[in-house]
Amino acid sequence: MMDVSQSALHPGGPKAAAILQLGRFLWITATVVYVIVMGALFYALRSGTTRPATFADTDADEPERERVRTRWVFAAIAATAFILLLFIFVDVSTARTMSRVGGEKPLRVDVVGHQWWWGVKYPDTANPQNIIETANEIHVPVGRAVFIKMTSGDVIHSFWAPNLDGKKDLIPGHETRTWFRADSAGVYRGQCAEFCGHEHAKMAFYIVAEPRAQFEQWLQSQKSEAAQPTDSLAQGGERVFLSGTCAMCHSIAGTGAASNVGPDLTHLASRRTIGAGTLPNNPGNLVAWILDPQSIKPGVKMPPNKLDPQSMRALVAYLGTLK
Amino acid sequence: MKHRPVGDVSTLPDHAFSHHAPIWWGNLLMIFIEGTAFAILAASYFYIRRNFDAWPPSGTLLPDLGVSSINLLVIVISAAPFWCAARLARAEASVATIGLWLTLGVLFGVVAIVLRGFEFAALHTRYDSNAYGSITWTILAVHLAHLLAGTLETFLIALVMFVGPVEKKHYTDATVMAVYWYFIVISWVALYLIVFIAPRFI
Amino acid sequence: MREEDEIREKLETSWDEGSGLWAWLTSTNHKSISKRYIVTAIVFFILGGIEAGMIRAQLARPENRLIGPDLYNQIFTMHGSTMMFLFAVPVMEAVGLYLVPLMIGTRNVAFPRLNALGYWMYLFGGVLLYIAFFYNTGPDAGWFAYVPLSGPEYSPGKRVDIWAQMITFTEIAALIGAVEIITTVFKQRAPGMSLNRIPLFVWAMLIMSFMIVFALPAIVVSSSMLAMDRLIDTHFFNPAEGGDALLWQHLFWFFGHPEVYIIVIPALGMLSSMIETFTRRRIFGYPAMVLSLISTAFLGFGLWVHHMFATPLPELGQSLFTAASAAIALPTGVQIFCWIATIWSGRPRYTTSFMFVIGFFVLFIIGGLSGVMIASIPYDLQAHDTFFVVAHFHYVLIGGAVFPLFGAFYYWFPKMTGRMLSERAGKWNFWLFFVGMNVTFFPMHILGLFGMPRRVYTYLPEMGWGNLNMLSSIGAVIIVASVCVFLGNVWVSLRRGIPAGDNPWDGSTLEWATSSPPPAYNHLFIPVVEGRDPLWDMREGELAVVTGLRTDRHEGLLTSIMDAEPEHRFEFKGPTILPLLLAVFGGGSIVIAIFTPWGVTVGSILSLVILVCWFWPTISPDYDTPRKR
Ligand code: HEA
Ligand code: HEA
Ligand code: HEC
Ligand code: CUA
Ligand SMILES: [Cu+2]
Repeated sequence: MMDVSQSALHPGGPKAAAILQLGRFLWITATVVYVIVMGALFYALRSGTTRPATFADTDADEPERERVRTRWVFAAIAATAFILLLFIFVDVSTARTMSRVGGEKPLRVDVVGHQWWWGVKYPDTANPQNIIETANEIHVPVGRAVFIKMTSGDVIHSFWAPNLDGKKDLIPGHETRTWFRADSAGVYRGQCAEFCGHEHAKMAFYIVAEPRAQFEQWLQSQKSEAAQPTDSLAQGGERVFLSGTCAMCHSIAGTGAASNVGPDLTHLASRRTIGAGTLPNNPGNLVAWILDPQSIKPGVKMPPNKLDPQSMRALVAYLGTLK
Repeated sequence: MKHRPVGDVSTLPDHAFSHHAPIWWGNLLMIFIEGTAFAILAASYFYIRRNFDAWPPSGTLLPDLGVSSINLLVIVISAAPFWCAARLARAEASVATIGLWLTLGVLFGVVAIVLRGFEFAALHTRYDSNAYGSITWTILAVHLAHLLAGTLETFLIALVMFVGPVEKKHYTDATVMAVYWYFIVISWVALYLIVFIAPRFI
Repeated sequence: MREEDEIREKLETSWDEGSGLWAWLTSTNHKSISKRYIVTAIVFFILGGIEAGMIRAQLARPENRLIGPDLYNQIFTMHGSTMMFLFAVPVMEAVGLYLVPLMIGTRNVAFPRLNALGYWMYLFGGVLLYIAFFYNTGPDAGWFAYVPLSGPEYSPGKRVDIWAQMITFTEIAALIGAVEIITTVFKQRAPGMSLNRIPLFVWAMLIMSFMIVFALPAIVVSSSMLAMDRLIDTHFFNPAEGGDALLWQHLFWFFGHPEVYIIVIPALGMLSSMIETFTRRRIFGYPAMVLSLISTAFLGFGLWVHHMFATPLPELGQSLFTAASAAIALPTGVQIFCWIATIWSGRPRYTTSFMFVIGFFVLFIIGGLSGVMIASIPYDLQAHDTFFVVAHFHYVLIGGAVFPLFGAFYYWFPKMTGRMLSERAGKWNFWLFFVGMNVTFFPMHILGLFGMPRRVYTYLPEMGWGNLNMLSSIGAVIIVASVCVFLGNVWVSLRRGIPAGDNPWDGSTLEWATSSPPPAYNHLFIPVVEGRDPLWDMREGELAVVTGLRTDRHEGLLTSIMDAEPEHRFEFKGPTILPLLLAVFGGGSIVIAIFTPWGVTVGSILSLVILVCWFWPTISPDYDTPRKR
């Protein structure tokens, strides 16, 4: 498909980098602790094995060695306490680093979780009619903090793009927030991390981090309504869309379709995937998806559509114009 | 294995009271379990409170203090007959007398159960109205289950005292029953304060 | 000697429960009930393991089409629920209910009929769950059933109701077991077994029981709230009506975190028993061990929020839970260090049991250290709900609970059955499990960091998770082989195992002072304890005992809580069908309640009748009778 990166080990921004650094500290410390404790265990086993096979408990007659043992145990406890304090210190200072946003005013994005897709909005407080709606793909400018406000329309989901940040739950009845910054351009994959029913496995999204100019361009194009189709095939497709069931669930700005049950399709053709990261967005996959989404994503909340090949060709041509 | 007898226990008594008796411990643990359940219900009550601007939710009247306060009084006083029964049992008095006190306790229990019916109405909400209704009804209902169970158990023990084949260990049962009833009383005082009084202040 | 034989004969007669089906259904002897408990729990372990096998088969390759999402979700929910509620907790309690009375020198648990009720409730809960599963009504919302996914709107049908009622059954059973163990340990210890002479195993069981008493009410309350939300339209968890989805998480984890220590603490007790015996050395630092167990139990109630770091909670508050989670590593560390010191000053015998003990150290510490990692909020925000966490908890659960448990099987099997398990097969059992376990679960740490969330039924090939998943699935096959070796070993040894004798391992605690398997009344005479390790302290091979308990009825000796001074005698209740009937009617009402609230009413009335029979005194009193008028 495309170059995907979804890994906590390849940070693309400061938060994930801070966590990775914390992780390195934890892994190294844990390895050292582990090796020492195992060393002690096997040393103990070996020196025990050198005793006579008839050995029976004799703690009373070796007070000196007993004292040595006590001292070692106390030393180990003290070392553990010290390491744990160090651990808490590093933990808290990492959390501190991660809460420092800094820089210019962050970009605001609202995300709403649905079974099993992500509704995305770019609110514009100055011009409320300029709100951009899209789904499953979030474009962000490189180097600028993004402030995400989240909630859920149904069950609990969790927003997680490991290259950029840890996860945050989307909970109905609650509003949660997080922020991240992408420091290098790239396409980062994320995935729902809280079990949310049948298609929890296929609830992915993309974060596209672009240079500033490119991002502004994208923003502009998304603000526009859907272009009127010009060729007749696509015009037929629009009719199929509006007269069929599609408009009951989807919205396409500039047409009559304005329902929020499914993802906004106004600029569908500009997105990389369909079905929340399940399939690459191309005409063949669109046909397959529209005909029978259930075979691609069993349980998905979109019904199959038995369209005749003619209408289907038109519909897909129309969807292809929604740049 | 060879055995070396070092003592003879055949002369030890065959019943005992309070923490010497296993049944007392069984009962106490039961109280711990149910007390924790009440505490969790109370915590849930205050947790749910945070989701409302007004408490009780706007449109819902404050719970009435009339019948609920009378019932509180009934429940508190009901501890007395149990206390008398337990004291007599400790003194190993006549079982019939103990039975009488327990019967009085049963009567109190029945009155409290009947009044509880009116207390539900005094809440001015229903379990399926909203989360406030759900939690308050549940607290009342769970405590009602304790009243029912406690009253029935007392009735049974009283019956044994009158007609059953009685052993001295049943004295212990009477004292343990009293402890359980005190728990029912004390937990209600706390829950009453939460359900009926707290909404006036929080 | 003649005298002893006479007493033995009388005890045999009065404690005999007969044979045949009726005797089986009415038994109230703690050993027969615990044996059923253990066997049932192992059956559930195998069922849970078969589900794990299906999980691993599905995840072995990307875009595998073996199992669809609907079934997969049921399977992992069944796996988690089975392993936690029907295997791990019950099996620990069952081993405790078998051994505690033997170890403290009493004849039965304090409330034998209640004990029987506990088993039946547990059995019915488990059977209910599996019947539903085979009718495609297995729960599918995960073992912690987060609302609103598990609520009426997003989980219509009966699947989650089955889960909630299964919880009710097993929690009742667990609470009963806890009450039994606490009362038995408090009141029925052999004379002289003062608090500082209680075997560490018994301490562990006692502490686990207290945790059950205070933790389980939270799940009883919350699963009832869930059931009410689903069945009678209450709104505890419905945000539209002022309910709260996070309330469920708090209540569940207030139970759920202690739950994991409820599983591991008994296992730590088993380890102390085995380490002591197989190093022939008293446990180093007994008081420190007891205090560590107690502080683990206390701290265990202050950690629940570490399962909720990704939810919106005040940051400072969350940090406290990080600190508490780190703090709990200290008492755990103390125990580990004390054991190592014990081994250091002892003479290890590398029996299969002891191999499993060593396996515990090697595996559990990996899990413990990854636990400390995810106790860090920033780190957990990456690891949470990924396979990293799955790796963590399988290391602690399998390393910390299943390995000690297998060790315990090899250790106490001779006591329970009179025959030794094969050591040769045992070594195979151990090594296959050890290797398979690491191959299965170690790669999961890496998968989690590479971004693989848990509870996904499939993943795309380009995610690059295929190879490690395949490796993990191969590991699972090795574990299956190991468990098969174990089952074969049990099968063969039961028939042809070497007869064990009273004390095959030269153990120090009282269960080894009686025959293998022990008679129904456990000990011929109630032993008198003069030190922490009665059988090692025995003078001239003679066990000090008290005499004088009646032999014509089930009489027991009660002692004081602190010093275990003999106080009075009492009578254990004998066999009866009532617990089974109560479980049938009470349990029936719980099941019918899924379909109509009237189930509760009808069931309560039927149960009441049984309870009246239960508590009605039957025997004609030849004990002291009281004043009538
Ligand atoms: C037997 C069960 C068991 C045990 C013992 C533990 C032990 C611990 N667990 Fe674990 N845990 C689970 C079972 C268990 N856990 C389960 C089942 C889940 C997942 C539930 C689910 O989501 O499905 C879970 C999840 C879980 C989470 C939530 C993860 C998430 O969902 O994001 C966290 C977070 O803090 C955590 C932490 C810990 C810690 C700090 C310990 C500590 O007690 C560990 C202490 C032990 C040691 C540290 C090793 C020994 C010590 C030494 C050798 C001394 C030296 C050590 C140092 C210097 C550090 N556990
Ligand atoms: C004590 C607890 C316990 C134990 C022992 C295990 C044991 C195993 N677990 Fe489990 N696991 C959990 C508790 C446990 N698990 C929990 C709580 C969850 C979370 C669930 C949730 O998310 O809701 C989980 C989740 C979980 C997952 C994640 C699923 C997901 O998120 O999608 C996986 C994946 O590999 C897994 C695998 C395994 C494997 C391979 C074993 C193996 O070790 C199993 C070994 C046992 C056997 C293999 C026995 C089989 C024996 C036979 C087959 C013999 C043949 C039979 C006869 C001859 C009769 N487990
Ligand atoms: C009952 C509601 C419903 C109807 C009717 C419906 N859809 Fe959908 N559609 C959805 C939902 C819900 C999704 C999101 C599915 C997912 O990814 O989980 C979706 C997803 C899509 C997507 C993928 C969008 C993306 O960005 O991932 C396309 C394209 C689509 N629908 C087109 C159509 C067309 C064309 C029709 C009519 C022929 C149609 N839909 C009818 C509910 C519906
Ligand atoms: Cu949405 Cu998982
Ligand atoms: Cu935990």
